Amino acid sequence: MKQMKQAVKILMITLVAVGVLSLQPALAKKAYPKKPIKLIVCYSPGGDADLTARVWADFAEKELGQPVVVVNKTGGGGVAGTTFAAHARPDGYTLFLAQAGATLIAPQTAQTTYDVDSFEYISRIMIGNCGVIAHKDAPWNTLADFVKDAKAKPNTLLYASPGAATWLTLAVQHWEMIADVDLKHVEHQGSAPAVTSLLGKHTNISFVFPQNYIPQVKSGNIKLLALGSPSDKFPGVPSFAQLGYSGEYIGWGGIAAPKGTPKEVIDKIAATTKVLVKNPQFIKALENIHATPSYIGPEEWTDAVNQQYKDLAVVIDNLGIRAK
Amino acid sequence: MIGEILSGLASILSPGPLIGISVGILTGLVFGAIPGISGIMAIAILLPMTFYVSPLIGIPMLLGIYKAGIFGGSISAILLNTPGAPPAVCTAMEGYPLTQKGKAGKALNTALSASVFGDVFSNLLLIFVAAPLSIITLKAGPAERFAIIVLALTVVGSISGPSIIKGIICAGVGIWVSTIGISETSGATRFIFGLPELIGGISLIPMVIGLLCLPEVLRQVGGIYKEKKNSRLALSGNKADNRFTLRDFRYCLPTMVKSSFIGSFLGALPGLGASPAAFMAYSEAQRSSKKPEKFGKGAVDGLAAPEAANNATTGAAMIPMLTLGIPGDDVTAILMGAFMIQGITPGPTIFYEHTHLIYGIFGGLLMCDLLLFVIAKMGFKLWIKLSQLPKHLIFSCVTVFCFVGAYSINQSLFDIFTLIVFGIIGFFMNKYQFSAGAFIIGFILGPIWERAFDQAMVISNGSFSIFFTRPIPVVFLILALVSVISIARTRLKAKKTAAARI
Repeated sequence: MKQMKQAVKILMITLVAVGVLSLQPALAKKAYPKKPIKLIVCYSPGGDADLTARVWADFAEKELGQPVVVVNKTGGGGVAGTTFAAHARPDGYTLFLAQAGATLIAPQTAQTTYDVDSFEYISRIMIGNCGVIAHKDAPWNTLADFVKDAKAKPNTLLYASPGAATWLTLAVQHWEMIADVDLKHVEHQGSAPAVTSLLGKHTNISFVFPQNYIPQVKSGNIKLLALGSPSDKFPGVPSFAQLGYSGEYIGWGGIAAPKGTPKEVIDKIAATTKVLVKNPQFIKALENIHATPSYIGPEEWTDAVNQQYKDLAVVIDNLGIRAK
Repeated sequence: MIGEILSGLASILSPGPLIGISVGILTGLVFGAIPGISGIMAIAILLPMTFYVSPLIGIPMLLGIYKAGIFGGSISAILLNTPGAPPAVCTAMEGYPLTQKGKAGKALNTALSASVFGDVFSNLLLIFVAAPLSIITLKAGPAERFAIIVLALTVVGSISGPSIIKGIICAGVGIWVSTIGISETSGATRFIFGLPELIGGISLIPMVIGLLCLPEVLRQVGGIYKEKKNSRLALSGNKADNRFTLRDFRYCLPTMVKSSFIGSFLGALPGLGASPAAFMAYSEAQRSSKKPEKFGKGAVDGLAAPEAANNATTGAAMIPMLTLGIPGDDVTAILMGAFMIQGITPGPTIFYEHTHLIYGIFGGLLMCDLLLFVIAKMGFKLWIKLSQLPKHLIFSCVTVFCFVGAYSINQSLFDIFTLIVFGIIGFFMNKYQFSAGAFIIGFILGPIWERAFDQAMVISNGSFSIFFTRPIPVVFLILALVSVISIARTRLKAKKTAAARI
């Protein structure tokens, strides 16, 4: 018994020693990162933002040589986590998974303590090819059919909204303006309940991310009327652009950091991500969660984000939902 | 197909999945039983681990945590009167009085038997009638959900203690507090009084721990100070007082069946969860009990009801997730993430695309029940021993865990303030007999109610007729009326007997 205890003790000491030794090379290098990195996600575990973050973290920690820990800070439709990330110390050890809703819309529709320029936009990782969906028994087979019907009876057809201040709903509002149709918005808390209400025929159409429509379209419960961009997976389904509607109908997610994060860090993260998105395993992992890898670097992405911010501002002012 | 189903069911009997489930059950029990720390936290922490093992090991492990976590919450509710999560509030109301009478063993065994009963019931529903049940789930639109919440809110009458007016006030304030922050449906910011921290709203878990655990700590501290002695938990030597006897089982069986139905039904509806089910089952048990006067003083049927119901939600909550690809609550959302990261998308096609895996998981669900019963039972002696430690030790630890639990949800200091503020509020509520349970009911159900109302109003163009012209909402509203009347009658009777005694 005593020997056993001693053996365990020795084993423990060896393990600790090995652990310390294996940390040595990481400590010796002075370059970023020198310690574990936190990646803030402002939505709950298991959702698309969270899964994207976890996939990125999983692959990036192998490239960076330091653990990347995903931290979920939820509440207020993403505002709580975004506020935290915006005010974190800009040393590169707090990163943020940015998506349009909390980063671009909430600062305009609510009194947040951050704005679009509170972040350095380092690299976009993925895009989601969002789609307009209707129940399989619905009388429309294309978006054109739907528009005809919607114009015939304005303000009667029901749009299942995943939340009034979400990017998805503002995209639909924008589309309604240019297509000159008027839908009634039934607001839900997120895309899953919106799809549920569509499946139960309580509402007529919705506009959601791929992970919400792909399983339903595959099983034949739901049909796709239009997509953000043409897809090989769904040949014959037109994109908004092909139907003649201008605007941004593609969702995205990427890695951002608090404003003032050193250039060295930004370059390192951007370079790492650029390598990652070409890794077949990374592509496969993102496809598992129905996202499409799509890299753009710091300058280009910052411009894209700022442009979308301005576009959204127009929609928000038109709707009169800007926070005073 | 049949061959694949059988081999799937059998695949759970290999060492990997069995170890996975056992680890899950142990983790769930420990996390659930420690006041302040909940099973869902354990699920979120262990989720990344499942990426590296086969789904047949990882997913049953998470399910084990889920089920054991819900039961685990009852252990501290029964032994210490500190329910760490809302579904265990009613359990504490009946279980702790039993403990005070020295019948801790009976209380724990009753809770465990009822939990496993409800769990098995809902798992069998999931396995055999998932598809038809999911279609019924879809039929529940905004009007239906609104009416169900009205019915659920009537439980305030059963749990609000001596004064029903105080109970209604608590529930009303709970609903109001739930509106603080950004509304995730309308995007509007409400009642933040210029405090940016309130934009995210009041977090449920720190608030619940504050209201339910801290006041008990303060009460115990006060008690020790007054009595100037170190009282320890006493145990009855009588064997029947430490068991869930056959007579108890027969007495509770109708209640457990009814509660399992309530739990499974509410569990299958996306967005409601275990707490309303536990509360509704408790209220119904009290309404139909042969000895309603025993409620609040250690009624075994009052203890079995919420336990059967809250565990019955776990199997049923998987129904919309597996059959429709719709997660109904936070736990099933995490589970769905665990599926997706493995390249399996839950939804209608999963049953023939991944037959082997799904039936393996079904086998795992039943194995979870068996192991939960065995492992939890083995731990009872330890828990009872622990709860017999000097109270200053126990409640110091409880306090520490309350703070750790509140902080670890979002790693936010504001949640610590929430905990402290609601701890103080809870202490005074307790003192002046305002019901914390009613407040929590209002807080949980308020947002769901408001959303259903908003949606129904858009669909009906602002006409209330939508609630009275459809069959399902009408049935639920009538049930709510029946519930109100019977609660009022029970209360009047209780008052009369009390008056007669004086």
